[in-house]
Amino acid sequence: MTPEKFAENFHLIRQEVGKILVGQEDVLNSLIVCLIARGHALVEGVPGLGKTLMIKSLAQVVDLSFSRIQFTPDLMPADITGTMVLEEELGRRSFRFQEGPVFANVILADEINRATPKTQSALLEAMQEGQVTVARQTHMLPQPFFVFATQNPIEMEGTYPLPEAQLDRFFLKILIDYPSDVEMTEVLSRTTGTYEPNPRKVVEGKDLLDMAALAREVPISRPVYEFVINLIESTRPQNSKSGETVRRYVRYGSSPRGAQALVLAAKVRALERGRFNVSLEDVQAVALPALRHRILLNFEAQAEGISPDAVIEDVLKRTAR
Amino acid sequence: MQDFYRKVLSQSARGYFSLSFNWIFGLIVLSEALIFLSGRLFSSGLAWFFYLIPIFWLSLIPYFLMRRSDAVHTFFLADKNLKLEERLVTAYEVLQRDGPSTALEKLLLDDVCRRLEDVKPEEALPRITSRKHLVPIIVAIAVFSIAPFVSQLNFGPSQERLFSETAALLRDLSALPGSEKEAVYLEVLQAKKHLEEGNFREAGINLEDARKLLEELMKKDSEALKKLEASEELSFITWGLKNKSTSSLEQLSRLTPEEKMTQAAKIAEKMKDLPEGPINSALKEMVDSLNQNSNKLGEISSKLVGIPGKEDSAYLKLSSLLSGIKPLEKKLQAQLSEGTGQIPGEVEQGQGMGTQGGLAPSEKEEDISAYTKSQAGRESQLPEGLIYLPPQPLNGKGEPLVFPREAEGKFKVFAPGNSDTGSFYSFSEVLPDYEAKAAEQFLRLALPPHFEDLVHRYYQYLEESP
Repeated sequence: MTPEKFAENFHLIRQEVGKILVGQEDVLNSLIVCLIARGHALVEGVPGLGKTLMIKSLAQVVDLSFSRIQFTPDLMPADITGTMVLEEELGRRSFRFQEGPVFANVILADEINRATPKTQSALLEAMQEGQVTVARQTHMLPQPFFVFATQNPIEMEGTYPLPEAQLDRFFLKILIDYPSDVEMTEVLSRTTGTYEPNPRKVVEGKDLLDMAALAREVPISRPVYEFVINLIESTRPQNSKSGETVRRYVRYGSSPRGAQALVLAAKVRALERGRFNVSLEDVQAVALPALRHRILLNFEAQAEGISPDAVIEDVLKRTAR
Repeated sequence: MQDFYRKVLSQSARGYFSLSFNWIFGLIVLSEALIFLSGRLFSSGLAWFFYLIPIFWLSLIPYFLMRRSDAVHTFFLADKNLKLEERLVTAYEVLQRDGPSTALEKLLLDDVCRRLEDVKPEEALPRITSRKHLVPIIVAIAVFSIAPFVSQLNFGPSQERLFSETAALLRDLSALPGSEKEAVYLEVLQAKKHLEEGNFREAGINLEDARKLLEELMKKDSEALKKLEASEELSFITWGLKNKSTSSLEQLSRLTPEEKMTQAAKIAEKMKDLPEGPINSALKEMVDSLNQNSNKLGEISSKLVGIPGKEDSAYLKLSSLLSGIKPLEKKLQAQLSEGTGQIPGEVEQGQGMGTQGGLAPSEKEEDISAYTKSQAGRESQLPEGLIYLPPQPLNGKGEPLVFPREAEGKFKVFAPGNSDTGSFYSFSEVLPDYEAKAAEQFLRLALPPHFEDLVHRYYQYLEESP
């Protein structure tokens, strides 16, 4: 895989998904970054913005198996991972593992916060290890394996907020906002007419793995590493580098996994832009989606309506000085 | 490309050197300015200059350390200058790490080479190599350079001002009139005491130097003091002028009209040598008064002693003029003695009045009350115009039983050779001193509030009484 091929694939994926989805380029870019960095994404937005469609389309264009799980309060872990079923063959009965919907390359965990924590946690092993264990038997998941979860920020009743441990396992948290007027016009034009999108498969799973391998080769200089470290440390209120905003509103700062996500996402972005090294700008550009779900705000911040993004932007300003 | 990095680093070195040199040069100029302002000699300024040279060389040490440890930071800043998005520093690290090992690294180096084709090393160089390191270095250099000056500064209350004021007083001492020299000398002594007590420091002069300087100045002043002491042998009028006392001058009013006219003629003759001025005009008035046998001499003498001693030459001439009046005092005393049948002694020579025959010597173990009673009888026999100072009663150990009051402390209680029996002093000699001392005490001591009015009225009565 050459950098040129990398950039071309990236462009093709974006182009093909763009046939189905109007606008939301940043969101789409972030999702593709997750694909290449082999990370999972948590997509948050109000209903009707095309979250499910976008993820489904992405799975289509990269020629990966796709599985959608609608999370509900009565969903059980076995409904995701699979279960042992009794099978009779030639007069003999035996248990056979029936794979769950998690056995796919791309999993869409729709409205993940509606399931109970027990069920949510069923994804933990799959997301981190790429495997599931049922009845003391470990089953490897197909590679590449991606979990794209969605959640609705406005309907909190009957939902179970994701535990911090699980949130940390998401590579990026992507926020979807309403489309602009121009985009809305295009959406209406496409969805209420005779237009039938027909995205083609432009990248195979193997290409994605090659792209991921190439992204990891991107060199990064010591000053950029230092910037990332300073950035992460500045999100922790206990750290001397943290500013007034962090000390006042943050309960827990980012984990080291946040730094890893920052560097990996920045590497992918650098290659996508035709650069062979990571710049400070790359890090700054991916800081919001990489860190917003890793910063736990305190009650005061919630009461005053302070968002994690505001805190991160403040930290970015301080660190960039 | 390696060449480019070398050139940038070299340029960075030159930049640092230039920057350091600018700062050092600025500090030298600042030091010289401080030296100039503090009034030091050029030689001490030169010493500071040589003091700064080692600092200059020392400032190069952190540069070499910085260059070795922080080349990466240099190229990071160069990246910012050239807007290369950290390509330069990343490529530098790749080169430092045994060259490119992946295709991406090779592509990166090629990319950097291509971008640097038209870039001159001077353009890549940031002006300040590393602010993080440079600022503490410059601050340290500045502190070391200015510290000697800071340590020389005196933040004490008034030591430096006291020193300069004292020096100014001593410089002007020769120009002062004789009557003020003693006061100046006392001030200098006081100042010296303060200087020794305080932690006095002045740029270029330590405490020891200051003390020596003061002692030298005071040596010059001691000559003036000798002259001052010599002036005390002048006549009682000169003495009155010096001590601002009118009583001795008022003695003239006791002369007979003929004697007054004689004195007036003498003064008028001597006055020809005196320059025109307040002293001269006051003396003219005095001559007129003597000629007219007027009793205004008290007023005139008050005016005369009230003249500030600005005219040094006039004062000296007046001293020689009034030396001719010296016999007058003797005559006065003789007249006073004749009135009581007593024979006056040589008062001015400190021999005292003869009392050996008239007064019985007191017994050392005598009861004090009995002694006081007997002395009261003696006092009633004294002639008018003389005061009696009784011999001091002693206890068994030879220590005095009666201590003089503070107002009398300065006076001689016993005349030489007559310590056991007491002695007579001229009233005219004792009274002015007593008045001056009492006035001083009056001003110095805190009187009980209900006595203030009484004392005030007493002194008012003394002034108004003829």
